[in-house]
Amino acid sequence: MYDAVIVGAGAAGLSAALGLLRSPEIKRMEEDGITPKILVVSKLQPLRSHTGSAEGGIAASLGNIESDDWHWHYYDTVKGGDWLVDQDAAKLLAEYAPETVINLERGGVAFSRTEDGHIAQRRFGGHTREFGGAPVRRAAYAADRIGHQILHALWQQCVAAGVTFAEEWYVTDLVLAHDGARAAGIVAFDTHKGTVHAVKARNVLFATGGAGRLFHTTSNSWDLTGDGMALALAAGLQLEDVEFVQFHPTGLAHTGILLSEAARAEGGVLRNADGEAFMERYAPGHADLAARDVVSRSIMAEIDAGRGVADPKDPDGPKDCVWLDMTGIDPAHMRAVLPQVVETIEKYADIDPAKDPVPIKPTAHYTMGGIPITVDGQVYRWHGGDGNGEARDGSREPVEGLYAAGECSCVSVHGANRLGGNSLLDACLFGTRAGRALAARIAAAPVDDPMAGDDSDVRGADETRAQAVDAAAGERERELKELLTPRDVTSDPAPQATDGTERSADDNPYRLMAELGAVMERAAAVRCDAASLETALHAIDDELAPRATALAAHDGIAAFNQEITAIWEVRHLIALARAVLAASDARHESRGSLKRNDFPRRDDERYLAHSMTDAAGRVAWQPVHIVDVPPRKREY
Amino acid sequence: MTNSTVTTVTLKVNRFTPRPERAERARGGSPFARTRKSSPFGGSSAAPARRRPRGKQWVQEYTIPARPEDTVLDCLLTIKRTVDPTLAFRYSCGHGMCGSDAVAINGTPNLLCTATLKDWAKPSGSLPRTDDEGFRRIGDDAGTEEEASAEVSPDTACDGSLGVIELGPLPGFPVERDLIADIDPMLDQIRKLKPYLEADGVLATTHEGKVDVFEYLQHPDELARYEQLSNCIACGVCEGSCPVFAGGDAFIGPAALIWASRFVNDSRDTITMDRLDAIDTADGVAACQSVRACTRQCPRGIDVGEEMWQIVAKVRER
Repeated sequence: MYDAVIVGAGAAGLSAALGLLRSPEIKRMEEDGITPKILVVSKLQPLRSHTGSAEGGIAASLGNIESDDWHWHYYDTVKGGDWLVDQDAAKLLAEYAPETVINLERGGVAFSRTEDGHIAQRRFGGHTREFGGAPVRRAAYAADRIGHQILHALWQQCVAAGVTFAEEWYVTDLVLAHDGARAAGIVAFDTHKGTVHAVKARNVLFATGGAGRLFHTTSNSWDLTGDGMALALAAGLQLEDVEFVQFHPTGLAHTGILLSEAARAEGGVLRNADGEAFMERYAPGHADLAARDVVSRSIMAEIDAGRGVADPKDPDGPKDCVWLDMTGIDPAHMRAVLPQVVETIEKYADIDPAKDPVPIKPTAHYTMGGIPITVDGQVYRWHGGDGNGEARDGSREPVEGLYAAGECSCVSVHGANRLGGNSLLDACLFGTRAGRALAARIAAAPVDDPMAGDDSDVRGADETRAQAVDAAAGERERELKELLTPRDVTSDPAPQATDGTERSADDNPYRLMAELGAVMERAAAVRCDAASLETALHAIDDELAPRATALAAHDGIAAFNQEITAIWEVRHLIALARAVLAASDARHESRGSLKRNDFPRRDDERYLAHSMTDAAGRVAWQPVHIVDVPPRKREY
Repeated sequence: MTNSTVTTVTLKVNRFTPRPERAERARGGSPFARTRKSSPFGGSSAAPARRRPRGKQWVQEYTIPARPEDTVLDCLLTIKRTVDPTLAFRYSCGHGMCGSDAVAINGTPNLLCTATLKDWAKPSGSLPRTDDEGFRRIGDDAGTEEEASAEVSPDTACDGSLGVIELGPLPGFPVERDLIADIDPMLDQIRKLKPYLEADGVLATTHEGKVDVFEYLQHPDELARYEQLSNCIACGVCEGSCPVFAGGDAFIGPAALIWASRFVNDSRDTITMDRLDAIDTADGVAACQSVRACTRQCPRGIDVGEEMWQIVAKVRER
């Protein structure tokens, strides 16, 4: 029995572990000779987490370069989220951002510096002074590697704190007990040994990251398969606002790798098949530097109107890209100020951006929604508000001992569209808060408390937890055995060279994942309507889901059998895709990142509310917490 | 665009499947586990007696459609999707940041996701033969049937073949399965050297003695002394390239030393002397033979060899 199991070891999970261990409660407990039993489980070695790919910065009103005020940051966050932001949470985010960033610096992050030695800050889209005025330098940065720096510093601090990790364990179940009212633990697959573990815990925290792999074109790593969100659904919980997925406008075609906004800031221009610089038509005055969601929508509108271009790597493929024309930028200047962008284009597209246009398309970047949590990271169920789009009175019923943080969660600071620089902040700040909340619970009743040995209530609750986790683990073990029984009895791990043809007739999770990504991209990338969503749901229900159920591994040895994990991943993606489609379908308006072609306007009368979607696709509505900033039109 | 002719590439992958019972044996048990690695200079006569991991080893060849600008990772993912879902290799971010996909490409440690076919595919037959740990074996007549059958026929070569790439797990580390190596030895060595900032905890104050700023101040010049070192992604490429480390001699390895150097050079850190003491050992800086092979393929552009030299000098001068 663990005091707490943390699932995921990116910025949120590691922040939670540190927030927990550094809390006064745990310090006191340790002084009394009681060691908290904490385990961090992650599907990747922690240093491989996707946090490491974040480039731009982490937002905080430090005011190191020019005057700034956390109230302005608060306002920008609410406005950027198109007012679908819980303002009590956004207030905490802005107010404690400076503390969060300074703690990261003190933990070793190699921030870029000003001449007087302070943390350097740069401008970022949507961050303004005086409530929507001029742009402000608010994003603290470390060249273009802030995520790498934060991830490594957090891991280093966890090494210092003696955190125990179970690395490359893939979590297959979130187990609740007492009719879903309490966390009981998790079931995890040790990919090294190929064995299933029943991990019992009084507290569980999910920090499993996003789900960019729902879409074919994504900036996300191959591991962002929405596992935590899907496991929450499977455990009978809801997901909040999952219809909101941010697409970054300039993903390098074919790869989805991000080309920074800086490419356009330095003079890059988006052009359609006719060579027209079309953004001026959609966003007069702002043109190529309009807000991310605006640019992404404009690109898709051009493509839908038949003015897209094919990826030169696939000249006969669909015309689903536009050009990013950087030929107007002085080549020497381009190399000096956009080294990473130029390197990416040269390396992955084999194009010289000084001479030729670069094919780009919007790339799935961030899931604003996720597992619903309070500002202390506690997961809850929403009861009530089942009316068609009307947020009714209802209540939050917390799940005892269950917490979440980071991209897999939704405390609703990002609302319908996230501002750049706010994702790392969310992960670190609310990760730390969740860790502290866990600490308070653990200190109140530690597993190793010598005084509590005979408390029959505590023992009884632990017994119930253990039974639930063992039962779930038993199920998984049975399933694992099935998956490891190859359908093709002739399959031999030492085949003749190029024997692939026989197996290629068979299905596999990697192919299925690619097909799901294509279906979701057609139906819901950047824009959608009732018909596109229905088509995708049918494709999933009629074809992809049955195929996913029928999958089995092509090799019978469990150790390092990646296909096993991939099968579970694609099943998770399918469960999550259904929820995303259901929530998108239920919201009859356009807001932030969600563009419904059949409901093009924002509708505050009916949809100033969070969607709460369960595994069956039922959607309930929870009112948005409006505290200080009444809804207004979102204009830049 | 330029060329819509279908081209192909042939990947020769050194594969390995552990025996099921190996799972029970668990990892990291024996302190002698590292002796499994043989020296690249040890000669081939030792090869048959080599302490190979227990399991099944073979070379498998895949010929798939590919373009010159594709990465090796693109090709392996295509293989997983369309040919052989059992092939095992680590990968995650796909653009050189996560550091998970270091393997031996044509015998040279590198990342799958940054190596392109146009840089690495060689006309078939021109490759020096390498074993599963990426070592070239000179005078080894163990030309097996697999290798014989691997010869691409002249027709194929004329018919749009970009050539052959040979893949094996990262040298210097025990293989777990196919291209997956156990890099825990490297992470353990990094962890051994206190890989975290030990600052003084003193806050800067104003003239009146009030707390002024809460972050540690650091001038850009001070940052520049360690910034690039802090970009290390712990992929293990330098370790696999180092003949001392990969050769199996006792050496804490270039990666751990880069991490130590990162903190030694950080103006905020207060335990420089302890850090230098910790690496002034027979398996620390003394084991570095200044071969500088560690520099060549660093995906973050760190001049590892030069940094080794610098840290050795610092240890000596203290």
